[in-house]
Amino acid sequence: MLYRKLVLAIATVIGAFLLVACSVTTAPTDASSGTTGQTTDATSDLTSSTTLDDDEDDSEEKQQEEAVEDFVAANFSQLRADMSVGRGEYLGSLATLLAVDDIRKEAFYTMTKNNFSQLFVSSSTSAKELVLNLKQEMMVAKI
Amino acid sequence: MFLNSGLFKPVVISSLLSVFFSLPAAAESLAENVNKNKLLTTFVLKARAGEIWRRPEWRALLHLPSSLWGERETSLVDEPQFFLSPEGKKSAQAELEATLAQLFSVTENNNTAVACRFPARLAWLRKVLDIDKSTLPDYQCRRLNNWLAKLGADGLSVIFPVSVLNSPASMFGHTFLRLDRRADKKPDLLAPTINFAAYADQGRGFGFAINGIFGGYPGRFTLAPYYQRVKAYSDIENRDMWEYQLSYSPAEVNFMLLHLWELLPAYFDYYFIDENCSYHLLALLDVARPALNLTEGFYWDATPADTVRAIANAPGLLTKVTYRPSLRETITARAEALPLPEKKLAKALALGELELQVPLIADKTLSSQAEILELASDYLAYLQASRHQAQDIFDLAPEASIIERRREVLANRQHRLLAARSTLPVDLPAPQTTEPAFRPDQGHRGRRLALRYGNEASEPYLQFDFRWAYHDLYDPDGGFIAGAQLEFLAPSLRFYPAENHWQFEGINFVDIISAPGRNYFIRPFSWKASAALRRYQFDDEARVLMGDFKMAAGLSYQLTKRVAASVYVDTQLLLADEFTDSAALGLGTSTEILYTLSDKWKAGFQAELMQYVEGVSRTRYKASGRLRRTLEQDSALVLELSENKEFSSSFLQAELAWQYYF
Repeated sequence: MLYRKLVLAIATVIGAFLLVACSVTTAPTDASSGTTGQTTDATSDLTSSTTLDDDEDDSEEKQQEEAVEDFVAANFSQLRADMSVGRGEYLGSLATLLAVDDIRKEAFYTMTKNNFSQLFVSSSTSAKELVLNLKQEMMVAKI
Repeated sequence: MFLNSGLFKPVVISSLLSVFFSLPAAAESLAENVNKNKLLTTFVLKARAGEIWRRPEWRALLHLPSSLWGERETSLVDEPQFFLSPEGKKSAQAELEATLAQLFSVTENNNTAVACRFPARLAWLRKVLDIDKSTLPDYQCRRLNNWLAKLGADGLSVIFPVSVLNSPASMFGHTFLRLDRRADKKPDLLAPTINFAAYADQGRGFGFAINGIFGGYPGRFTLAPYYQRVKAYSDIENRDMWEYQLSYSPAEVNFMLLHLWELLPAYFDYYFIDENCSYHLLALLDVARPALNLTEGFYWDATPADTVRAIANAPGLLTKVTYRPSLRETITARAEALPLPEKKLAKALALGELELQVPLIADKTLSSQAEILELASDYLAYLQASRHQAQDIFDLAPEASIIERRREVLANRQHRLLAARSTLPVDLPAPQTTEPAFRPDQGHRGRRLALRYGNEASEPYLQFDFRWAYHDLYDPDGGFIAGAQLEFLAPSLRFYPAENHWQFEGINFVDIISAPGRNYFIRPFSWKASAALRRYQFDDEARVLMGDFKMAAGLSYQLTKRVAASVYVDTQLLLADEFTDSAALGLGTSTEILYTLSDKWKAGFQAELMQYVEGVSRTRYKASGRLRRTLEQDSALVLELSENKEFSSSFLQAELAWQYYF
């Protein structure tokens, strides 16, 4: 009857593996580390707030700046794709984060498309460089 | 008299005041304590009179589950700090009185005060016991208020990423909450999400599953921006997502967040079956609106599909459902809109088989050039993500320098594609993905009962089947992923009326088929795996119960919208005392064609050939046809005819089954 035990043991292990139901992929930070094109920093200010840190000393401006950098770093390839066509959900979210006025948004989108090669100088342009380039181009375009 | 009393009053008051203020500090706090004790006694008595700890609101705040046998009195929270009374985990009353006691005794007024650690309890007690701000002043919980302001939420959505093709571990899907900011019209991607997950260092493999089942890892609520989750589920794992917008008012959302604040430092022993992501999300939704009592009815297993079904069935809870297609769906939609030469061009550009040169595609119209470049870039992103994922799963670690060089090549190619696209002065409409006709909450239920009448080698029988979960290829596809099957714990019992004899027919522990159709761009492999105890006709007399393990790999194609076909190479391990060394190993092949005739009719043809090479030297085959007709939402009739040869002479089998989902 050894085989019966073996059957049960194997079946239990397989069953256990399947029962992970909603959990095996519940750690997006796990899956998104070093992904499409750009390595991401998963610890955003929201995650860190779960540790109940006191970070109210940061000025609002600094927090906003960090939010932009986090967003660009995490969604670099999506933003690049959106900018190449001058529209998209990620680009729209970035415009909100950068506090672009509603009436200037279209101009902002078009600017990213038209100045794509200035924003992404090469394939190794980093998220930080992109934010800098973006701010510069926004100044020039008066957005 | 009048004058006297008129003069007397201010004197008395001022003298009283002076006495009061001149009291030493200790005496003052003593007086305050006496006063507070009095208040406390009043409120405790009031709470006892109303037995308010029995109210669903308080039970929800303490996470006391309801169970099949009435209400359980043990909280699901396993963090000792969550309870103010030593008996708090087991006694809702003790915890309520301890909370009141601490609210009225602790004088510190800062972030660590009980009122700041348990703001939802305070808010609820204030309301139920009429504790107004003069008896218990508001606390200055700076940290809590900052946190609430940062979240700035006034709405709630439940997000359901469907299962991953080719990864049955996730076939049940997942659920988490999104905190919406409707008043500000903030973009969804920036919204914070609340997720309940096992908190483990290593998130994969068998050890993880075993530990998970027995509560080896603590479960916690965590927050992350929605864009991180979209990235993980939609862009990397290619899971479509469904967003269920709920009708919670800003006040309800705020109360739920107050309670979440209480929960963030707490942990739950994480049991995959009964205390999973879905159960705890429902519990959180119950806190915000206890009248819903969504957790009721989930006694020991909740799948994410059950969660969204509970939400959809709760009257007035659902306001809107949005479908967010994965990158894979977007690519398929883009490809479908293009003629073949354009598709070929896009694929070659993405794979680097063709260098991007302007004259090459310049003979196309501007919009067609743009379409080619956009598809090529999406496809390249898909390849990058799936390659990364493959490395994750199999833990392949080729030399770092090789990976780095490869990544650089792809990044360069992507950069050139997008730069070229940005120079085209043309605006294309967003790709038109088609939303599935059924939402996940509209699919059939996972559990199934079946009663069949069969005839095997001219011997009639009745068979009773049960299936705990979840979906097979012949079940209605609506709300499920096409070409995916996950059956789990399915025992069968047979009755032979001629001999008046009952027999255990077998049990399917698990039976998985992952057969996603391949197209020009997306080319996944198909596979099958199963573990069962089942009977095979060993000789003309005996049907022997055997351990049965199968694995198969193959390819599947969606031939037309209605016809899908798969071919596999199969292996099988049979365990029974009848074989040499109690085991038989077989190699073979199988094919299956599935025809969805209409919403109600499905037909299929299956052929399987297996040659045993170890343990026994036999050839086994089975050819069968199946026809399924949906009767109502939750029942169906299935007719199956097959020609079988197992380990003895061949026989004919016919079965008519009635299936019921519940």
